[in-house]
Amino acid sequence: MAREHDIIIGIDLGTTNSLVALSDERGPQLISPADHDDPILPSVVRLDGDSIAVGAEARDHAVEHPLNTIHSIKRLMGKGLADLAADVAALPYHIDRLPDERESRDVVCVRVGERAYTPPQISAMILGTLKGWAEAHFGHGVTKAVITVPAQFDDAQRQATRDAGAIAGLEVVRVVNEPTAAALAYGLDRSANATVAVYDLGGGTFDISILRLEDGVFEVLATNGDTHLGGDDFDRALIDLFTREIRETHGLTIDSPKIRQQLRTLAEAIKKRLSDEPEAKIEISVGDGITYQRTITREAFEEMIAPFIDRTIEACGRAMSAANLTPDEIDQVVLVGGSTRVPFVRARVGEVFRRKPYTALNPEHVVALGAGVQASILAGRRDDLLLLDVTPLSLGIETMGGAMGKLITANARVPCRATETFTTFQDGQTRVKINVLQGERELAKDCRSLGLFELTGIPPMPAGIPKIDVTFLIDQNGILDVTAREQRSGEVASVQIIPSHGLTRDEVQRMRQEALAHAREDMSAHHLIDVRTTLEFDLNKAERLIDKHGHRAERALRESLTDQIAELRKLARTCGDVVVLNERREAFNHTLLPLAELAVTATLREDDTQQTEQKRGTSTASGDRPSTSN
Amino acid sequence: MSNQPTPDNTPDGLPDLSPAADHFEMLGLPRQFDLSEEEVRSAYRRLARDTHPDRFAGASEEVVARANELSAAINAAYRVLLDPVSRASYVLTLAGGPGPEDVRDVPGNLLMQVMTLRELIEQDKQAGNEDSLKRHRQSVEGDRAAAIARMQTLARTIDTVDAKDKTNLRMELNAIRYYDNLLVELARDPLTHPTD
Repeated sequence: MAREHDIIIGIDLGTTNSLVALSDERGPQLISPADHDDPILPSVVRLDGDSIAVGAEARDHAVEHPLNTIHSIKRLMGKGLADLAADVAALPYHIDRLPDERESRDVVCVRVGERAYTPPQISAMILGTLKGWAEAHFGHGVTKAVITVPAQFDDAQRQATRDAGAIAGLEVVRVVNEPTAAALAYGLDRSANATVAVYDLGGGTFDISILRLEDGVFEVLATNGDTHLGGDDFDRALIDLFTREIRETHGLTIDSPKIRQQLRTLAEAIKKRLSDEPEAKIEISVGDGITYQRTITREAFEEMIAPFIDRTIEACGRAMSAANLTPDEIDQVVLVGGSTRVPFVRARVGEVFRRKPYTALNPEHVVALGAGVQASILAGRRDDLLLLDVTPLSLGIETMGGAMGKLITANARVPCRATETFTTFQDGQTRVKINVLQGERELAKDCRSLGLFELTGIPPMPAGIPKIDVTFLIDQNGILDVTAREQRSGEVASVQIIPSHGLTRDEVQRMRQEALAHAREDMSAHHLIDVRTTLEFDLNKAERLIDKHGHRAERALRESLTDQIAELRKLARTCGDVVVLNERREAFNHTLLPLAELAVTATLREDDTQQTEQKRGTSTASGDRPSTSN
Repeated sequence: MSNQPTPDNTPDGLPDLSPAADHFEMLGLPRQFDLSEEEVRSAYRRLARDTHPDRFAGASEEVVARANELSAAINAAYRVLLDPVSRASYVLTLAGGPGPEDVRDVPGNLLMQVMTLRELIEQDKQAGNEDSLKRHRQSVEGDRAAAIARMQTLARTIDTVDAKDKTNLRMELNAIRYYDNLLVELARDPLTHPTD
């Protein structure tokens, strides 16, 4: 059975919602918290001094706390303040540039009161909650995860996602592209070899990936998309309409964060209602005793979002031409992401690929399930499946004159490698700076700088003599690794990276420590309920087992078990330590084993009808949880 | 079909391949132009199964680094060998023929033709002359197919052709690039103009 060290969980860290999954003999499953059945964690965090609320609680009270309720943090991952100019006005919370003396670095942060939080820190709070759900489920710590990202995420965004994992105490063993993960979940559903297009329109990002599925190998042929396009834009279009009309008809400017947050919530609700109904009504009090009212038809909404859908359709065309395929050569189109619930989106996608999109899998669950499958592959539990993915963006370096010199082209299979030779311009020069870029544009300034890579330790030689081979490797996570070696001396030059939009190792380490300090109190608060519920569940099962089969066991065992149950019930009320509770629960389940075995033996002897019924009861009570049987 | 044996695995479980091997050796394929898409694909899939870093998720850093290096080399080989045009260019280089930087010429008066055609395409696009554009496309596609056929003949016999024919092959390859660019220009994205 699974042990702590080889458990890897799969996480879909979404713009709007996040989920966690595991995969075992029964296939991938979503993990719900112990106190309710909903596996969806809204990606919303409320920061209130030392108290942090994550999920539905934070989302449902967003209107009362507009300045410290953080939603859509994913759109800020790996970004600088300069990248987000267009978003500032629409966000109810404040964003700023992380204080830094280096001008080359621009990392965005969220300001709440006196404190500044980087996007990885806030994402880590979401990850930490999911980690807690998984730990309560398994009954022990979880330290490794596969996390999904939009295929179009660049190196900085992927790195930020990995940093978020580290801050949450998770080693991110793999970053997987969301559409690829979805295909993995989908591929398990049907065994035939096929060419599949995955259209993934989420809250904040859009991806289109085309894959060939053959003999368990998932080969991504091409991917395209937009990391700044999703359901949030549909909401934004509605909000813009409301604020414009409120200004024009009532002469009011909406600057209250509370009303802005309210408009956001209403816009989201209207969008959802228009998926089922031909029209929806909005009514909101905008102050001064004025109420703004309006009815929006589905047609009007479709007209508003059409430009966004057009952009996704163009990306589909680019992906198909990169894969060298026509719509007729694609066997299946899969829809992923909450925004594909919009009927207009489905209709347009159907039109482009000339077939009805496949929607049997829940578009909001499928990415997490795929992450769970990938986790089981990496844990060595399945060797019948393999993902072969591509890099979404071209990688290059800034050349003389400010051009982008491409080293690796978009849609190259990863891992991929390129080597480029550099030299010095001055006698005795011992360091060289390289500006590493990602993007499809011709000029360096139009591409995204990943950072300045500084090669140091070059042996002093006359100008132009050193030949420094720099190797760029994009690994299977789509993350860049750079190494350098001087040809003549064979000396390995070291590469120091000043990330343009990312955190340094030290910063991540410090944030991890802060989160840990916080988590000690927080863990108990967040996960205690889960662990208590699990314990209660196990104790009730044990009681039923004793009622039914207790007479078969020795009296000493029976009495010991009854005593332990009473003691554990008391402990569950008084003890606030999650780890202690889990350990005791496991120990108890272990002492229960002899009785469970007796029960199984007894059941096997009984008649057929009873047999079926009781076997089910006993196998659960014997502790079918991974942690209790070895 | 390729009858090359699967390379033995080293103690760390990775195939005993040098990342410095040429693309054919890398994929265990015979060093020849004539290969079907399926042959290249299946050789690639088989090797990817043995070398992809996901297969070595729990292994030491050195093993993962080696898996990365081998996978990168296999991916590069696949990219070059899968497409017949880049495969032809590669066998030409292996046979000591001129590279794309050495010979930039194209056969006959192709350059003139291309320049004229570009102007016509531009005019037709502005005038919305779909019929004429369609004819241009058909003619370019026909010319490309003929160039591909000549390329195949030369690439198949690359070990026996003389230096002049090696230069001819490079010129055909250059021509194909021109045709490809023209086709891109002619490709009216059907997606932005959905057919009713």
